[in-house]
Amino acid sequence: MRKLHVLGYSLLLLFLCFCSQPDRVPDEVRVRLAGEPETLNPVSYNTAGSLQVINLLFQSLMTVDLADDQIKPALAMAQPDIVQRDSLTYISYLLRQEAEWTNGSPVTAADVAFTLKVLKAPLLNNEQMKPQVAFIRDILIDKADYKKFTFVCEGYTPEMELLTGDFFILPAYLFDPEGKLEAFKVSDFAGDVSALESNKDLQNFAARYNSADYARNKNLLQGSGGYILSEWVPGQYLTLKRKDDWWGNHVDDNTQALTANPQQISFQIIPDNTTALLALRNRQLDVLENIQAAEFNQLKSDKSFTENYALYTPDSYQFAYIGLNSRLPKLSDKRTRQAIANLLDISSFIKVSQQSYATPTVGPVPPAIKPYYNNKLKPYTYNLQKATALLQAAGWQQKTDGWFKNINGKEQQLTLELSYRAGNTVFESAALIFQQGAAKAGIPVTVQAQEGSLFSQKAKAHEFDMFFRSLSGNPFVFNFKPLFYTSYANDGPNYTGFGTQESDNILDAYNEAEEESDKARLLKRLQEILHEEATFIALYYQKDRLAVHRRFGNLKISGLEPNYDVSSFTLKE
Amino acid sequence: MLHYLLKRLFLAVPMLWLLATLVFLLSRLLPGSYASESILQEGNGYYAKGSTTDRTLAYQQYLIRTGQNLPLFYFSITSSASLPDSIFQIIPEGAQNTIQQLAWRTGNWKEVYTFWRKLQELKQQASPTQLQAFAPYLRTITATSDAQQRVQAARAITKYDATLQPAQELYKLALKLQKQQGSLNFMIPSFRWHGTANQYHRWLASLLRGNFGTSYRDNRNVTEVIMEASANTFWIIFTSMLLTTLAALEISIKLVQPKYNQWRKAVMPVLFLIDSIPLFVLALLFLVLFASPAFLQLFPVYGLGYSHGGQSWLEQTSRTLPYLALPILCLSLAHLPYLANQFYNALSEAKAMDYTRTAQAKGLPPEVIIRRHVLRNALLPIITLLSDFLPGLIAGSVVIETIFAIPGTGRLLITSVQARDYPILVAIVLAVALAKVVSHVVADVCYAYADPRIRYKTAS
Repeated sequence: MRKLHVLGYSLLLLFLCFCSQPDRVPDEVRVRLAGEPETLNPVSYNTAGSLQVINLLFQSLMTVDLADDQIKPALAMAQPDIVQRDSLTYISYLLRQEAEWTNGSPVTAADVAFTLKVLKAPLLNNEQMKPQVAFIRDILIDKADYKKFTFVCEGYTPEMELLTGDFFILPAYLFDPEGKLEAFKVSDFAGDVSALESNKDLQNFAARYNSADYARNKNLLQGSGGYILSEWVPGQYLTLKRKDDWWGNHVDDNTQALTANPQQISFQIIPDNTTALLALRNRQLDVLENIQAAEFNQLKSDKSFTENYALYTPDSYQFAYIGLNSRLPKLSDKRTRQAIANLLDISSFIKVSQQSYATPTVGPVPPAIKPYYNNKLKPYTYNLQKATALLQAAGWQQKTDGWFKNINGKEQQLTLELSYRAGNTVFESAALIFQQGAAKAGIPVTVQAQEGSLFSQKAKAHEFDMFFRSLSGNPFVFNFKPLFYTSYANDGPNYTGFGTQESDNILDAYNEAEEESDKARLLKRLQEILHEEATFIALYYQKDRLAVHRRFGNLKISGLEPNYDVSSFTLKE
Repeated sequence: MLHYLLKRLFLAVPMLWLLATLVFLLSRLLPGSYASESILQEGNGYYAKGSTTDRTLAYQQYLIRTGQNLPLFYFSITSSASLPDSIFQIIPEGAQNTIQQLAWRTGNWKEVYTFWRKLQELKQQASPTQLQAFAPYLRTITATSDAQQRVQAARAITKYDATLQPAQELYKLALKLQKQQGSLNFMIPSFRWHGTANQYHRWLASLLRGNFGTSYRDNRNVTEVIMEASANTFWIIFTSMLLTTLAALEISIKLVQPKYNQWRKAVMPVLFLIDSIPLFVLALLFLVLFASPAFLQLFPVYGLGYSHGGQSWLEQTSRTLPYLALPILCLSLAHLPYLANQFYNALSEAKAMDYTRTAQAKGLPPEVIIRRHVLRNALLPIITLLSDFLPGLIAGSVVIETIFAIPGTGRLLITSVQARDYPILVAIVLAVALAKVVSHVVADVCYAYADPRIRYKTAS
């Protein structure tokens, strides 16, 4: 027994060795990932974390510069030339002369053609990206210049330019060393491809491409970006090392979109938010985004913390909205919906759930984008009298236990079921606030948290009264057609069933409009209609909260995910 | 004894098979699949990267490529009006409900499926202005349960453009469906035989060959993924179990002796208090107290540290130990009260026996009595409790793994459920069930050794 005691105490002493921080390269940036980036394949990636890592390894033709939220050429030399002829659009790019892969070979139009083949071929794990490039029928490579090529696209929509520059270019020498896809042309994969599924070469390539190698192998996942994956311990961390003599450092133009400044970037996988915050306070992390509002306020008042870390709150392009199911008979009258909108206390929502880190909005256009935002409209506020008056005007009668109306011969009470994705504490508090507000008006509201995929399923099947959702946008293109067009109300993303003749006309006209003033006018009218119909009630635009260590400069803080550009961080002297 | 063991193990195999089958079939009831959110991308706001039709087609191709469109089992017993699985799975989720309802009402799923396909054809062929004009009628057709309204809406569409072929055919089909409305066909059960072209058969066939399949997320071998995950948490759980057992034994042995009466009055309530603290609160408390610069900073906050290749086993262990200390302490403390209480009860029951009094009368010191006589007789409930540890080694602890950022089996199970990664899900459940069976057999062997009165005989 005595021996056991000795053993026990010595074990305890062994544990109490003070932890030594692992050696750190001073020029290393430690970033937190909230979940394992299950695959780093640039075609089939699935999480925001993996996108952040892949952006450092691979490049696309155009990229977003977070310094000013503008789209700038990355692998391409300049903005593309667009020519419309017959019913086809020709989009021409010229690749940068300096662009090369890890082994020194130049990035050519043949690599772009190979990438298109991989994105469109059957049997491959590419279903996520396939629809994005479905409009590209073929690629024409210039005979004289192997860096010049033209996409042949069907029809024309304003997003085409963006979409052609938005997929990562793959190195043919790593992804297809045996050249199995060389026999195919890009045009082979447009249209009906069932005949190709029995092709032996394609099957061999698919077997190799779909394997775990192209999801995790650091020797195969090397692109034209400034970094290579040096280590990946599954579930724990990834380390990226800067390439020794990256071509991006020798590019003449000073658009500053191509950067690879830190020597080493380490992504730490920390699923729990509290642990991540502790790691930040412990100086084991250099950057942390998505900090909860209450904790952010605490950090702001902590002097010892703000000495070492700088705190930022950029305006994000993510907003929260309430959707009402206008197909239901009880909600089909516009005035009923407006009454419900008048029971929303948006400023309370912002104060309680977002700790004031949000801006109220009248529609799906961010208030920060002044030319398009309709500032003549006022966001809905809590107005009990107006709500009561609207309900009465819509034919509801207030009795002792609620509001009643004769619908289809039956007396129906106005009750609401407010659903949101489970786990979202922000929406939970907002829902409770709404429940209290509606109770004062005599409308019983049941609040229901639903599991993620169940929530999506019910939204698609239109089995809901009212839901809370958030939507991410970007400042480049406003194509609201999928959200608001009436034809998408049956089985498309228009879950709320919004749509009038006029709004459809506006959405069509917006896509064809060329002048900025026309676009602005149309969008402002759309926001007016949305405000009036009260089917899709936008609440507020969120602010993101992040902390970055003060030894880094040139952070490129922006509202676009991931809120900073880690490849541009420079060490301040 | 050997016969008994062999019989136990032999009977365990069908139980494991039944469990795996049930988990396999029940888990498929979850809505959605791994790639449904990323391929269908219906949550995307401002600009759709690709049209909805293209995305639906790509999703169908994904289901066919991964074999998730196949029927679930060898046979299915459904209403004869239901659509077969292979067709049902590839219909987009938003439309599945309406088509199923229509099929039940008319009793003829083939007609309903043709009707729906014709509707999609019409939507594709019509021009945007025509679509806008058709919108209210299309809505009626899909939403209404009244056959007459459906026919009227279809006729209204034909009036718009006489040359639109799909509209004419749609009208004819709507009339056909109206005739069949109200048929009671849906009450007749139908037994559909799927043969070997079903998901279960494929899974079972590869399982019998020793292949658990590949993960849907990154196509890695399932065995590799699970071994990697359990390797991380195995030592944490093993050490914490060892610590808890030793500590619980020591505490209960001490508390059972009369001279530690005052101690017992203090220790038992404290243990009860610790038991009432949830595990995640305990873990976060430890983090804040022992790993935060605001208080004591003795331990690192998260993870398992960096690995430097080429180090000896001893060096690696000593480097990882500070990272393991807090999780081990946390787990031990969480399970200690329960074990200590159970051990104490077992010991005090055995202490009330006559042989204890005899040993006292012989003049043995109380410590020796407890350790040498009472403990041995109280071993049976102790072995039962300890036999629960083996499955725990493989199942991991999701709370500890999430808070301390250690990738283990618990977290792997939760993430695979959320991501609908069925191969990994079923494999983990199977592994834990196997561990449970083995632990029960080992417990039986231990019972036989601990208590010679127990004899295991095969049925004579």
